[in-house]
Amino acid sequence: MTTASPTVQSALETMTKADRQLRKRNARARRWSAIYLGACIFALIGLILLFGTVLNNMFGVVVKTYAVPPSQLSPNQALENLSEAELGAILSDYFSKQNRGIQRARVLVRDNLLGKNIDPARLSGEPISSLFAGRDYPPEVAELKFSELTVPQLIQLLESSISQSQLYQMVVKDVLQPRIPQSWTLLEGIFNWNRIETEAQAKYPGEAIMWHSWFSWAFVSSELTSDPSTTGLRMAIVGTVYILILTVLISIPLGIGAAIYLEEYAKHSRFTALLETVIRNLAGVPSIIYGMLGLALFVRALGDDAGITNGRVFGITDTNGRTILSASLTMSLLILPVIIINSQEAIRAVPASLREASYGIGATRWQTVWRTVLPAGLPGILTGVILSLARAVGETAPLLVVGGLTFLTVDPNSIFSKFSVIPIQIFSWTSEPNPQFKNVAAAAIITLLGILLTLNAAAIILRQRYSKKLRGA
Amino acid sequence: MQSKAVMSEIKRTAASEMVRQRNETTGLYRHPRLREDLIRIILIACASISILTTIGIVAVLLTESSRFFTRLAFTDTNRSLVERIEAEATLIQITLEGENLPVGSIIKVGEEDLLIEAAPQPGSFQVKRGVEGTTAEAHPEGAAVGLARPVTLGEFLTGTRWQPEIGHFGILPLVNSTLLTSFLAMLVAGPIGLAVAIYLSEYASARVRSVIKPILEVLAGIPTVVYGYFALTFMTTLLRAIFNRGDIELVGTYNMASAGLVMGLMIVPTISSISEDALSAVPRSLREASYGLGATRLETVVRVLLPAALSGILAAFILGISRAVGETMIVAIAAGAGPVRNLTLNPLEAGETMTGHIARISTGDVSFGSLQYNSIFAIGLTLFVITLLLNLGSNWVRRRFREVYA
Repeated sequence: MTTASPTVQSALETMTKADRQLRKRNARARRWSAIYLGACIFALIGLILLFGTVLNNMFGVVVKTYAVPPSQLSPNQALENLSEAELGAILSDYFSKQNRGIQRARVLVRDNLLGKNIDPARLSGEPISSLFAGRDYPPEVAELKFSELTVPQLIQLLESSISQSQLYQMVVKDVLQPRIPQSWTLLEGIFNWNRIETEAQAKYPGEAIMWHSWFSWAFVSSELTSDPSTTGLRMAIVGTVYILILTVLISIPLGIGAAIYLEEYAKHSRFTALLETVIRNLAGVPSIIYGMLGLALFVRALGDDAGITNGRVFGITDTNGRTILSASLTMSLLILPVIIINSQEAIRAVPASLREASYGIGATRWQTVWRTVLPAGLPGILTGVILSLARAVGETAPLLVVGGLTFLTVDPNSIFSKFSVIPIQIFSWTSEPNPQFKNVAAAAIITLLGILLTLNAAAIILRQRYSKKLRGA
Repeated sequence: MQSKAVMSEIKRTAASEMVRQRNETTGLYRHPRLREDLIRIILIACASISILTTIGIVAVLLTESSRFFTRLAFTDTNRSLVERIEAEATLIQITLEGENLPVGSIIKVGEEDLLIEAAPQPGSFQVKRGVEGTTAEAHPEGAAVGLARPVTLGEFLTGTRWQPEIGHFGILPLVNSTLLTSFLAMLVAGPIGLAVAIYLSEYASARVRSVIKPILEVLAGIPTVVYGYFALTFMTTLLRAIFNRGDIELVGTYNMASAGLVMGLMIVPTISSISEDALSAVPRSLREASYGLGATRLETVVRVLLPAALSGILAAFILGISRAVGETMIVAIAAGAGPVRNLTLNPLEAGETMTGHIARISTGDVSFGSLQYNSIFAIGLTLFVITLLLNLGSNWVRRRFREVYA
């Protein structure tokens, strides 16, 4: 074995040292790349947990109790398969036995056939033949007045006018009166079924426990109540749609107009620079500040003082300034900067050659904008508009400040109505102490996310069509 | 000379007449620019709405807050009526102990404001009834007497209690909760957002990008009220399971930690997308030079890319803080409501932020012109100034420290 000369020895040592160092550096690089990937996975896990929490609360196990068990009403056949006559018999039988049953039957007939707002004088004065003019009613009650009808006659009126499924809904709502006194989440149901069973048996002996989806057509379509097992989202959905449409009508012309001015008309002046700065800063103002602007300006000054946003100048007197119109105006100001910035980008993307061609054949500036720039930029503009509307649909804080209600008894029916929107309902249900409202809130979240998904899908489809068209051109 | 001038005048008139006639026959002249000008004016009006909105926000916040600072607040004096007074009585007896009631000051009994005109004897006061727009009414024996005083700016900015109902107007507890939740949020969103940005810009293949990008977009698109629900139902439950052992309850139903952490998740997309833009803007040549010297990918990122993109990353962080400070629904749902009496730095306690307080007060039907109505505008002004400074700072940092590569 020969010993290497000292120079070779030290060179070798340096090499191994460098090699070791390199390996260390590489190991460190790999470790950190794993950490960077980990951050992305963290975001993914966050998203999964978020959706998981919502779904876990939306599906679950419930105990359902009935005022009258369904098996008692119809021992041999499922209730929803009964004929109209049989369902009617159940209703009239139930109301005849009940204390004050005839009043409840009258309210049922009035609300479903004549409308809640019918003039009481008409109701008590006119005979059935004139109240129900042009509709079906049994001939023997034609000359009677509404208050003279017996329970079976009232139910007959119902039977002759509404469908079997509506009758079935009435039986469920008025006779069965299902209540959900306790609920468990999806995961509890999967992993702890036995514990749930014993707990339910101890507390609610004889009552069935079952899987239940809190999100259902009934939930989306029924009115708000204070009971989590019967409450619904209809009023909030109507409010959201109203505000969305009105916001579109107000903010799109203003936003696109501003974008056209900035891109096609404005020269580089101090005014333009100020505009650009202001718009960018407005986009960063917290949304709740817009709510306060709306509260002071639209609700108070233009509403309660001037009588415009509460409809007083239009002859409506029963509302204050906290109306759908005020909310929509506030929302429009909120999303205006976003719409302007997005539209500017879309207009900027229209090739300059198109404009030059238009000017070249003698078109004026507006003719160029209206006939050339806007049609070419429209898909891009619409994509931006839809995305900013999606933002508006989910906004809660400004509408809370402007006076969105957490409880409504009637559907909004004009732009001067009081309102609630889906996010405000989610907020109010989340804040309820009763744990079942968490399930209801989860169902409302699914509805909201569904609307957002639809809007975003529309934006994506528009974008894809647009890029295809550009490629084809 | 003169005839020459006359001649040129005649020529000019004739020429302009010819042009006019030609234009009329060809139709060129008849194009009025009125419509174009009108449209231009309408478009300018559309664009000016943004300026009006800004002016509106500032004007509303300033006027309503100035009302807050000029109106009277009442503090408890620990003194009360010795005997029942009727609506007409002008000489009233008030118990002796408690705060001094100088002549000329306004006191409050029940809903009525009274002006002290003279104090003939200790405990006996000559008053003018029903001042400041209130109506004189009878008050029972033992009714509490409050002393009026204006709310000062110093008290507003340095006071450590916020309870407008009983005369405490210090914004510090609200600011404290806001900063604490925002700090927690940035503790999550800062490192994670930056790491995601680095991964997306330097490591990820096109396929991985096409998975991660949509995730971030979905995170950015989820309404904040849904994050609030998530904070209350998931994060709070998790924190309680971790920190509460047996009977010791460290974490309540409402705590700033769950709100802050979830807010962090919400802000990750903001930080990652702006930081990624900054990283991608660093020229390729810098990367290649670094790799050419034998640097590993990590060394290139840490020693070359991060310093080069620093301005953009800082701007992203400042913008993230601004979003956290202005965020409302998460803190309104999960951080806790109700007056905070002490300044706490413990994130496991409940705390009401500025935005959370505004949301809570305005959910109840605030009557316009009440002290509480004015007080939320003073808070709103503070919030507006903070976020405006942060946004301007973010822009300034981006411009000031931007590395320009030719």
